[in-house]
Amino acid sequence: MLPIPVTVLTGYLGAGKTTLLNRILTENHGKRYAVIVNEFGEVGIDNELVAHSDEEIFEMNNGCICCTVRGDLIRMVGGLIRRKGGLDGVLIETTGLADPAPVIQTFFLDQETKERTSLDSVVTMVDARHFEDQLGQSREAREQVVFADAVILNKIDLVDEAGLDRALEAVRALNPRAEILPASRCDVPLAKVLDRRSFDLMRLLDIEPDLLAGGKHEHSLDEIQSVALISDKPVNFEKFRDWIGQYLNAHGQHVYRCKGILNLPGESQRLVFQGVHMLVEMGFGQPWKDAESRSSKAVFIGRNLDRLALQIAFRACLVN
Amino acid sequence: MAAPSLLSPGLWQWTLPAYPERAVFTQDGAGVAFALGDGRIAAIDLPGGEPRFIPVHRGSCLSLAAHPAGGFISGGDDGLLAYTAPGGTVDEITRAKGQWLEHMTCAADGSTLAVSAGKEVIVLDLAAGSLATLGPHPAQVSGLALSPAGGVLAATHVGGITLWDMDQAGEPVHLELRGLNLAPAFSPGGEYLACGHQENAVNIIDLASRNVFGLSGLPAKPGSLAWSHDGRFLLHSGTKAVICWPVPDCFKENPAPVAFSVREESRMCALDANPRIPFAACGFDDGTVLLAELKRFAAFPLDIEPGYPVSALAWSALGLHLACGLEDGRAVLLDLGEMLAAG
Repeated sequence: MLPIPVTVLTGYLGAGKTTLLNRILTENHGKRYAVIVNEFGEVGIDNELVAHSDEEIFEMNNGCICCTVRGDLIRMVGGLIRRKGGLDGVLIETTGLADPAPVIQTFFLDQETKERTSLDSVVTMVDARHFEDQLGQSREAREQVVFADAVILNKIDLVDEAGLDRALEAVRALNPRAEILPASRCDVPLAKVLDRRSFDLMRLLDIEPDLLAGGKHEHSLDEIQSVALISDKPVNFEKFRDWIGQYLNAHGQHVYRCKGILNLPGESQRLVFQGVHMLVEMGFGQPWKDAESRSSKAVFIGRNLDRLALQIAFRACLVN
Repeated sequence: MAAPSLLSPGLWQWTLPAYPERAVFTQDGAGVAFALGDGRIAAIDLPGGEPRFIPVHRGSCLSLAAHPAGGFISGGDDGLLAYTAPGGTVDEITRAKGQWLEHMTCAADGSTLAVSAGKEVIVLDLAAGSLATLGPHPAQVSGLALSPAGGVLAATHVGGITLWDMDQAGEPVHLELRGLNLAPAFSPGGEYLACGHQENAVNIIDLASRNVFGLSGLPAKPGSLAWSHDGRFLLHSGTKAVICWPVPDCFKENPAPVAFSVREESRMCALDANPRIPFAACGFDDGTVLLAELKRFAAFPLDIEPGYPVSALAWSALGLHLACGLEDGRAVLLDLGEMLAAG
């Protein structure tokens, strides 16, 4: 059985998640998506493909306070994928105030869920008109953008050009890594939302050059920042693995997402990694092309990251 | 498709159109039924009947039990708790809107039945025909077990286990165990309660002293637990072999289990112990079903084509028949007597 792709949909209250979910459930796209909505959600469709869940977060016993998972999702995702008829995907809606981390971590930490599904992406919906206010008021609104692989900037018909630019800038400042999909009334192509394969290590080919401009996107609103590390020198894998393990153990609580592509000496394939808080996955990705410059790049997004310390530690992992 | 094929002496196979979630025998042992992922119940008369499909639930049929007067009680992810009569008519017992009725347990004599509905548990007194609700529990109920004598109901959830006295209404007892607990199983004598744990561990609780024997580091989550018929051993899934923990010897220092029939490449994902003889059926995720003999500690595989994980295993009350479901929709029935007679 092929793993079923799972998309996590986050977004602050009123951003338009419900409209998008209703589109996914009713549009004639020829696919079957099951939708898990939170118990107090407002999805108006009583459909056998809609399951209501009561958010239940618990800590794993491994002593790591950020290793939280959603017990309700373990149960519901397991149940949905066993249903007859096969599903093309599962979409999980989180409440406007939810921390996306436990949802994502469930797909890293529960073995059965991990084996039977593949986490496709985290998509965050943002209200172009109210986003600036919400950013100022709500840490959740900021965190949801930081975790995203794609941001749907909705309701752009309700803002003028300057307003749109400000919203775009605000999203990029928080998360330069995410693709931004402008929309009015959630009119984004569903293929852009549901089949992104963002967590597929094989697909991680490069990290956007913009992101590596470094420092440009320092944001005064928040302590959230991204730190990009880049080098043309190959990386000593053992040193890097030991360092990132120790680093995330100590600081993972403040690291929302990390991602990287590493050039290992004598290796024809990229080593790719990505992580959420203290969890990190590594594997070999696509081979390097002959003409390609083999740089090692990594990006960390989090709160109060020590840019200098990260740069020094990364440099210590390079082969001299 | 409807008629069974004979795989080997005493071993019949049907092809069902959906994932068998649960298997259960009728109270008189003359029939077997499977709860299906398409919401139907497949009822089969023994020995080699053709399945009758009864549409009961809108989503999946998640839980199933035999009614002592015949027929079945089932729960689904549509929130419906239904009674299906032997003739096939379906009656609604109750409905828990928005809840998945996933875990069901009934007393050995069939008189009491409990089913989980979110943080609550619906309890049916089938003799009196009454219904009660227990809870809410501190978190969603992840497993249920009634003690063999029917006096205690154990409900597992995040943070521990709740024990309800079924004979006397009152506040339940909470046993604290961090993390997500699941699959509770009382020992046949009722002195011990074992349960699985999300993080690849098993806990055995001595209910009198409240001592807990915990074992961790299993290869996978133990979602099924079973006691040997005499209560001497606890078995659990999530392993790469058949593992039997001696109880109560495991509470002493440096306990060691009996382990046999190692299967490096697969994991046990379904399990049921025979209620009358020292046998257990162990289903693996590669489709192997081992019949484990708990006296000589040897196991042999049933003649089933591998390939898909075992999704359901159940012995009949007399221990003469074993029903088995596989994820690709196959249902297998073993007549133990016939198989042993054929050698």
